[in-house]
Amino acid sequence: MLGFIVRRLLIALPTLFLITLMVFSLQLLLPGDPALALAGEERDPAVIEAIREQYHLNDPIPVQYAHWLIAALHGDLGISLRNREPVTSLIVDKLPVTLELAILAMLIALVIGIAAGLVSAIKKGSRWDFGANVVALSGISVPNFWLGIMLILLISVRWGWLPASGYTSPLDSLAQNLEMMIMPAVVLGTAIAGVMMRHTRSAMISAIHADYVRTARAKGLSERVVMLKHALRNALVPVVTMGTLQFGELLSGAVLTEQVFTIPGFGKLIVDAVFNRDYAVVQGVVLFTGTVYILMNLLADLLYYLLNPRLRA
Amino acid sequence: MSRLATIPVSETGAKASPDQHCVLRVDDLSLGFRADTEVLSILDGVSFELNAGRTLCLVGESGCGKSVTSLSIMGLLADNAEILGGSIRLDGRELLGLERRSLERLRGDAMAMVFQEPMTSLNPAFTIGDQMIEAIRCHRDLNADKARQHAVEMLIRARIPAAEERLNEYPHQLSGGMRQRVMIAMALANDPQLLIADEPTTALDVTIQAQILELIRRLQCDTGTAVLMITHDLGVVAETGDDVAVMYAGRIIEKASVVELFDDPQHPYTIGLLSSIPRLDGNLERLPVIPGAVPTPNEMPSGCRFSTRCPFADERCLEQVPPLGEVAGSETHAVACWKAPLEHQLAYQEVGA
Repeated sequence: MLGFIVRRLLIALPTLFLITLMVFSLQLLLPGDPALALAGEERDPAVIEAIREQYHLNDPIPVQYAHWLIAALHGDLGISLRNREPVTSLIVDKLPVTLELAILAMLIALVIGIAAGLVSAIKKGSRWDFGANVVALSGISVPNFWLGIMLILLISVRWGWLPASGYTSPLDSLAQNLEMMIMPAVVLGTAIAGVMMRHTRSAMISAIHADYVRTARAKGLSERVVMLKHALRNALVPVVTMGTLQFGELLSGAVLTEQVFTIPGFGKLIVDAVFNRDYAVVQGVVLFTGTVYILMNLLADLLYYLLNPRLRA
Repeated sequence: MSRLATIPVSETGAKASPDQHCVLRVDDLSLGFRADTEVLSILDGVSFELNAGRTLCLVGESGCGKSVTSLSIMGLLADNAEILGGSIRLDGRELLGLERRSLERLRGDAMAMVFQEPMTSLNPAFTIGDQMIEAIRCHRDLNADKARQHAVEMLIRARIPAAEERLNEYPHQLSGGMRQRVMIAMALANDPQLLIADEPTTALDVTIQAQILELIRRLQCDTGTAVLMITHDLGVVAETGDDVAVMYAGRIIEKASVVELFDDPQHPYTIGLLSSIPRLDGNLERLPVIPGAVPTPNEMPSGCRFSTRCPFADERCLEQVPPLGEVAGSETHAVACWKAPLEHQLAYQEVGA
């Protein structure tokens, strides 16, 4: 078990290294002199030279990279050029928002996706199966921003049931927070639910025909136990793995959805940073979400390992 | 626990005397598989009975309907299977048309089944203990500890070493032979009246095969269970069977005691099967084969289904179905052949040539 984790971590390291290289080279590829940009209105060569010294801009590039990496490892991802806030604290601010949205969306996806996949596999070829497939296909193919706009038009503008946009911290008012989060969570969740449903369905269909399911029936277990315990337990292995990867994707910020609903999460942070040429923020967010994504991959491997006794031998 | 206590445990290992109590009676069972618009006939008028403590071997080649017969007894047929007629009685109780809940109560309790593939028949996600205890508690009102104890007892009776530890292991940690022992232990855990063993040794290597057959025989002696042994292997028949029913293309074409069948086979197909067993004392270059192939369900001849391959077949064989009739001089031997008794004691190939 421990060996497995260590091995996986060692494999993750080179990927992480590549991400840091790419993120770092981002600033080298940018047009213009960062020292001039930092100096702003100041044109005094001495000041500019001082800035160069302060930010190690005169050092060879590998040394600059080393400085940047060491700082990043200490949690210092630089300062936002726009509002002079440390990038790390910007990220820490936005993280709970994106995390909440991701968890809500994932819950919706899991409940709808697994239930629909289960029903359509057990009732394969029936109207239930057909209906679930149509819904899943729409979930996958309808673009998030379109669904988001439609929901806003219908539910917020026409019926006035939910606020169209904005964000309230759950610490201030949980009810208000949920009112604002439910629509974006549904938009993100249904898209993933479609993928989940397809995965659950195909895994369940092959599990239903497995010999061990026949054995379970031969024991005299009720059909409910046969399906929900014996078949689903095995069918869930690939679904859980896939769900973890999808969760990683959600954590890296749902750019369009957050934009549509003006939710101040990672997605909005990175879009604003790109538009404002706030490169330190872009770097920081990309590095952070890349790391999260790798960690989620690691978690997916780990879950696969835990759910699959054959790997534990 | 009450039923368990009544299990007669034979100290000597001698066979419990076969009483005349009929555990399983299959009567004129016909079934088909729905394909598009038509129903393809798979079983046609299958009848046999099995008494407590006896072993009936259902023998035949792949696709002859022997597995389908066993699955229809257990009520485990695929959705597209359709019972066209007949009756299956377990201890006098009709199984066909039984509602699902009642059937579930019988499965794993009064009747149990061991399958061909020990490698895939146990759920890879649960421990041996989980799966055995589940099978026991499904039919008995035992608490987890008692059920666990009983599971250990069953594993010990199935000659599984370190039974206690095995309970915490997963199927992949066991060899094929061990898994089949677990399957047998699990099937017999609730002391069933009927054990169906569907090719229980086919997937195992030869030395393990003999051990598994011996195990089934010994446990049968202890419990008096009736065993329906499905096999294509005449060696298994000789080793385990009391009685034997030979199936061909969905019909039973010959029924006899094992001794009678090997001594005096009547049906040309049975004779063909027996002569295709390699002999150690012969110096044949090639094994005799039965020419041709089993007709597919949609092009069955209207008469005897073996007539397309039979060297003795004439007009009547092609057109009229031969009834399963007693062979003169024996109450237990019956054959479905217009040409019986075949007095030609010729080697199959010479006749066919």
